[in-house]
Amino acid sequence: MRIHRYVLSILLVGAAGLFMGLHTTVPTYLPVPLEDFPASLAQWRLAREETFSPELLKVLRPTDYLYRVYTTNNGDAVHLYIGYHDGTRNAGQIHSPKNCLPGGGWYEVSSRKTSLPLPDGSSIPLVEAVYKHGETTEVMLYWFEAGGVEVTNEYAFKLKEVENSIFRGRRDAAFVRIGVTTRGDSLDAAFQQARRFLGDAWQSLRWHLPS
Amino acid sequence: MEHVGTISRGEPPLALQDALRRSWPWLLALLLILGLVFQDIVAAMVRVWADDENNSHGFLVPLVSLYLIATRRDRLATAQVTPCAWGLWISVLGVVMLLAGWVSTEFFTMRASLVVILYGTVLYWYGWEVMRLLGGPLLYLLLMIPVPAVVYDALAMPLRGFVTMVSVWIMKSLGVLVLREGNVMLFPNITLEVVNACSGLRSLTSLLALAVAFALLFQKSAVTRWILALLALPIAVITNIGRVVATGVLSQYFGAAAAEGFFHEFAGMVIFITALALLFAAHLVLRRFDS
Repeated sequence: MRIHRYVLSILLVGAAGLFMGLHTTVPTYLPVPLEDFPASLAQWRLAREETFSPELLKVLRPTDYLYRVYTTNNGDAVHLYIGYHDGTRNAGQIHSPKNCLPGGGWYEVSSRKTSLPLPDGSSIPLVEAVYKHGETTEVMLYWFEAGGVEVTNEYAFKLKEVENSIFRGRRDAAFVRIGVTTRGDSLDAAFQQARRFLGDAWQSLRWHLPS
Repeated sequence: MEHVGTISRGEPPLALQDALRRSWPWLLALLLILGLVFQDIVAAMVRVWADDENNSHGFLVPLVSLYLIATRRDRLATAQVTPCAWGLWISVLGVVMLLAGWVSTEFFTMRASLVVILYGTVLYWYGWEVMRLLGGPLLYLLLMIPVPAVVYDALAMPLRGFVTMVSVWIMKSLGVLVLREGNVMLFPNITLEVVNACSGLRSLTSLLALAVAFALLFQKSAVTRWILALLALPIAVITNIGRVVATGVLSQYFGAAAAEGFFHEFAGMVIFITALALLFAAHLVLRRFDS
């Protein structure tokens, strides 16, 4: 029996283990906790803040999260969800609505990629989706951020994460979703409302999430 | 890499037991280092088995695998060792999977890489004749890995639709007043939703693990093994249609109680035992065709 075979196999696994041991990703911290996210954004006022059940938190394992309802005086309401995962082993994964919501009985009616131009000349790439659960229709704008870079595709997100982990030593990720509940007959108006909210919130979002 | 092509040249054929007698410290070293590298990954997987009832069969899978290996130990002892260079490349693939999974926190890839590395190493060190005996038990280990949520949901949606559709059709044929809206069944007095758990997918992975164990343990020919393993799917779907129909019919008489709480759990147990019985019956029938 030749010994090189044994040595080679063991070295291979050992090298992988060594890489895993030495390859550290440092947690990326938020500038301030998400609970300090502004309670008023232009005409929007914080109406309600929700906390997740322990069961849900056990699955999501966000480092920090925020689930709020903002309203205006004329009765418009949007839900804002921000999930932040600092990239350590304790933090969970980003859950894409594509994979996550169907488990809860929601199904996707439509979804398309687009981007929203911003006053500073940049733009936010995002997904405009319509989901339905029983009689409830929800339009949503959402995107992922991997190491501060916005992406809209689950696979591109995963690749970005790998790239960040290998080359930048960070694996932080965020998920932002702006939702508007509608009767289903006024999708356009609902999307307009969500976009208007994003237009008022983007500066705060940029400031509160790592770049 | 100059030895790759000449790997078995100049070595006298050796039975596995003789090879192991000489090289056991290497095997031990490999298992130790695999244990070190994979300890966190395996520990996290065991926690999933413990916490998530969709995956509790995970505890059983390694035991069945070990048992299978034990039943083959006489044939293993005398199997000829014919190292195969392909095995090294399979191990390399496994390591790439491990590292890719590690940097992107993709649990399925990390977990599956353990099986791939084991498979590759057995092939590289001991060759195809040993692999013929160990391949089944090793690949069987893949069933201990929880199915990724993406795959689960992609399968659950159409399966749910199918189960609801067939169940409603059967109930209508039985004269039950029922309407279907997507995965929701509307009865005169109650509305029931067919959730993921009832689609048959939840019991499918457990049933599949059991069916393959049955197949590897008791069926002799490859054809009957495959048939028995594949039968897990229709059995899981049919028994769950039975469950939905029974729940629908009973809730007509007993209201929501028939669809919730203890009774629902109990029905789940009865259905799983029925599925097991069907699987066993299929095994008995297939055994007649085993040569």
